[in-house]
Amino acid sequence: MSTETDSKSDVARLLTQYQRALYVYIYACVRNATDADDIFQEVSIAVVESFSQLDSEDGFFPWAREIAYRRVLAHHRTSNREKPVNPQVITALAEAVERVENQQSLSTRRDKLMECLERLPSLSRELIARCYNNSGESVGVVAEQIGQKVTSVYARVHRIRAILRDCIAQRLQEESGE
Amino acid sequence: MKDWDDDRLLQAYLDRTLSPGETFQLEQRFCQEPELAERMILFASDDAVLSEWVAHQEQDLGELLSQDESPSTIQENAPDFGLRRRLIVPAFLSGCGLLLAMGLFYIVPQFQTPVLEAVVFSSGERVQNHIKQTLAEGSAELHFPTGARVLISAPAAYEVTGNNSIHLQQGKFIANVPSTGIGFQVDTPHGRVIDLGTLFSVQTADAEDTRVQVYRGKVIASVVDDDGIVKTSRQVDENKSAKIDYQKNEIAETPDSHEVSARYGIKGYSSSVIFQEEMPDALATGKYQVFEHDDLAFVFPERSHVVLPQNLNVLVSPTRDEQRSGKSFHYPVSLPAQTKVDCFRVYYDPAIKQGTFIPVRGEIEFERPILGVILEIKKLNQTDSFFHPLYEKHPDRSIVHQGTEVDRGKIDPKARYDEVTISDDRKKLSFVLLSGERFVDEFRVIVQSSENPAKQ
Repeated sequence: MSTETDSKSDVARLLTQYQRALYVYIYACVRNATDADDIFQEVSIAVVESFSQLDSEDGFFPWAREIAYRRVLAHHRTSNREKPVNPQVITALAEAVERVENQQSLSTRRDKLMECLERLPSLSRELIARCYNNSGESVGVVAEQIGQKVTSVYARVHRIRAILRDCIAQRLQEESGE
Repeated sequence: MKDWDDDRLLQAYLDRTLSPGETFQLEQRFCQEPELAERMILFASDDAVLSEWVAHQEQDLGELLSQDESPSTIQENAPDFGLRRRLIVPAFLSGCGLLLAMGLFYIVPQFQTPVLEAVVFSSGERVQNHIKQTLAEGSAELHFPTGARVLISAPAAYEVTGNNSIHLQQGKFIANVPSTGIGFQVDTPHGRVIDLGTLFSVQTADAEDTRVQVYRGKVIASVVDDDGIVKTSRQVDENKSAKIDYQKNEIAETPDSHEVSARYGIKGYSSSVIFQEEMPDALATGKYQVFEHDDLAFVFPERSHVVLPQNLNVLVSPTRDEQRSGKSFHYPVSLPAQTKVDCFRVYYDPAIKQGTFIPVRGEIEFERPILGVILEIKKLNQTDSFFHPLYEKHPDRSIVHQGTEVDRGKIDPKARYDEVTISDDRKKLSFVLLSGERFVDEFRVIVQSSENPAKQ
């Protein structure tokens, strides 16, 4: 196998391994799924294009995260709707995502959350679906549609999220105990 | 700051519902409290997964809603559930491995996903890989296993090179690539185009160059040398176009969609509208497939500077004054013979599953007055001889129209129908088209022609 081919499979494997952590970091910084999608695409391209510059595989995630960090800052600079952001916040989140990923892969957490979602009662699933779909409906609109107060809907969603977090924690604990 | 626990604060931060002061305070805490920053990351992760899960479950949940004993208000709204999909869905919708594939295609074209299914024509017939196909007339539609659809117009020569790639030796096509097909690759004699989830067209001009036009999303255009090595690349964004010039080793910008549409007397259009200069053969003849797209309407110039050989009845919507005096519905006006007009076709074909209707709302502003619209199928057929771009060359070709239904409120005032409205100054066209998987909405817009022909 040629060196070039090795390089291809390396970047494939590493990007697969860390794609969720990269995306989550970007999403935490911009708090908008569309913007996060766009930035993530740009970061993926940049990673593939400049992979040859990486000295060691061990440094892949910090290196890719640094690319993401720069793209996020650039996004905040060019986005009209964003207020000036403190780069220290973006740095703090970058360090946090690395610690979190080292402790427990975010891909694993995703899998557990997916399992937990399937166990939710149908009405809870429905509420989550309404609040997280792409239609842009505000919680106020959802509340109106289901005939409840906005505060009540917020409280219900908050409870469901808490239940899901507990479920994830339990499943991760079970897995580590096996 | 509100007396909230940190969980609520973090969620409110993600939801952007904190005040600027509260946001600042929480961000300061991220810098000082590493554990809080880590929890923020976990919240963001869960939030992204929930969006991903909802996107996957949308259809099932839609059914669930209709069966559930939920309040009637929910059921009434169920058909709108998740209708307004974004063109680019969350990156994790289909797994970011697709993006990864895009990256790999970008650097090494021969590294492709394993063959799981074949590429087929719209008829279902399999297309053999690595066999050159030539298309002397008409058009061919290819369906890739990744969901990418390509509509090739004759004359063309092409070769399917993989499950998500094609080599276009000569000719032109339009590609509609959903998120599952991100990384779709087009090679031409002059370079390469890598899709990043989009709707775009590619045209090769033999030995000269390759033109790329992006209607939605974005692509990466590259000059590639004879050994398949990328020499230079450039991202081409929405509504932009570019020329891959092999000789000069450059990707040059060419006039964007708005510049081209301005030549036809269109001053502007809303983000839900795509202007395309040339109507593809398959669409022109009524074989609609590739242009299936939720939330996007297309406008094509048909024939310009047409001198009407006879009086022509078109419809106009009532002005506000007319509405106040009790006129609610469109009414016909007669354009006298010898009037010089330009004709445009507005077209909407959503891709959502059968039984669901997706609305698109759009606006098109013209430089010159709109004289009227042609909505009915019968009238569209009758006016093909005046306005259809194919009619002069191929008067015998079968052309199918579907029309647009407005004013049906006369029959059932509670039902929802298409809306096509002309502004009081007659320069702005507004529409809400409601269509489904098996249906197309289309209509003609007749605009007063300029004195001088459009500069092409």
